[in-house]
Amino acid sequence: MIDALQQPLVAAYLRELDAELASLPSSMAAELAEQIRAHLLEALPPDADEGAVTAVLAALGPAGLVAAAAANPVSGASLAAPRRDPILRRLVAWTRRLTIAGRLTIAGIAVAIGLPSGALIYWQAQTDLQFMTTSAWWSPVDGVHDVTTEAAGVSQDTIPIRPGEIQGFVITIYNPSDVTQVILSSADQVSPGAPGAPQIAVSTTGTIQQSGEPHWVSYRPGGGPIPPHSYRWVRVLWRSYHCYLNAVGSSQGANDLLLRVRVGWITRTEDIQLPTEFAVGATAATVRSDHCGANPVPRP
Amino acid sequence: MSRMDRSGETTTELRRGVLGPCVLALLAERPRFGLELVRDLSRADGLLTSEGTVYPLLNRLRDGGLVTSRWIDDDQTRPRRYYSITDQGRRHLAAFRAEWSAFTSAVDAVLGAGTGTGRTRQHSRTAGEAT
Repeated sequence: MIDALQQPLVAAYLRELDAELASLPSSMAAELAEQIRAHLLEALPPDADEGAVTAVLAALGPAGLVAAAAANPVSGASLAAPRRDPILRRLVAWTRRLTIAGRLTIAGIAVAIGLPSGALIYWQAQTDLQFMTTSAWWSPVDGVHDVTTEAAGVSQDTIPIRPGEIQGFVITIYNPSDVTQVILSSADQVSPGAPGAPQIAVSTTGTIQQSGEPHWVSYRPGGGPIPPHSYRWVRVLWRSYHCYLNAVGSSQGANDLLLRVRVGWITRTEDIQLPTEFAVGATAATVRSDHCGANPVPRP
Repeated sequence: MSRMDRSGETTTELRRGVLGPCVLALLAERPRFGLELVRDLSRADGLLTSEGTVYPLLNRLRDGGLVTSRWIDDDQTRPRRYYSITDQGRRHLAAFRAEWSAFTSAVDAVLGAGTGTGRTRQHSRTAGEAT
């Protein structure tokens, strides 16, 4: 006497069933296979003859049909999982029940919310400002004392700190976005030569071929706009602090420029990577010249 | 030929639509195990063409919260999985019964009326020809 499931016709049916169920989620397939096996064990005595097996399998239906019934829930679907209309269809049906005034109100609210939201997303998606090709120390005095060093692929341009004097650099910044971006101020809390934020100025034009730049262009102190797909000179100045660097060989610099920038209605901080680190360094002369070598003012 | 096929499809769709409520109705009488339920359904002529398709239906009814199942060892050779209707299933069944009653009454009325109208027209045309 053999188990009914080992009967050749039954075994072949179950193999076919397992193959048909392979495309279903594993838990669903396993449960259904278990139910069909239990059905066969109940329906067939262990010593069932071929005729009885054939009749039971015929009543059960083709394995593919059983699997299809599980994969395509038509039978009893409305009871098993009360299906709801898609959200969009329900929304359309709901709006059809509204009065004209109600529809206009909803439309007004949608516009009032949608337009600003769309605008905010549009502005937020605009590309940040970026450095473009040209940089220089602002003061010719500093320019002639610039020392460029390279270490581990990082470039640093260092000038001697001149305590009490205006120092800084100018760079060209490009606006790659489709909207005007307005530089408002520095977002840095310190400057390379002072414990305060640098003063930012933006050129009013984007000329770059004329001689004498960057000094011959006019600047708008406190920031200014850069039209889309245009560049401007951006001047970064600070008054170097007397007691900022008190040891010979020490330096302080910046390899990026944090700016507060207005894009449309939003204001955000943009981090402009600089091509080199603009740094000021202490020399024996600068350390001797000030009075805080032994008692420096702590940096912020 | 095509008319016969459409008729068969209609019957199949009707069968599919009512099989779930029929399962609920049987389980509302008492819990049943799989083969028992299948055989009781099979007794209703034309309701069940493939016994194996009842199990996917049972699983969907279970997933929908209308049916529960549990294993019971009732001194048989092996434990059996018994299916029971839930309270939600009973409510669903009651709602279907009400809809079904109204639906079948409406369909019966239309089918009956259609037959009667045809006879009347036929009769009157025949009368006209005779005149």
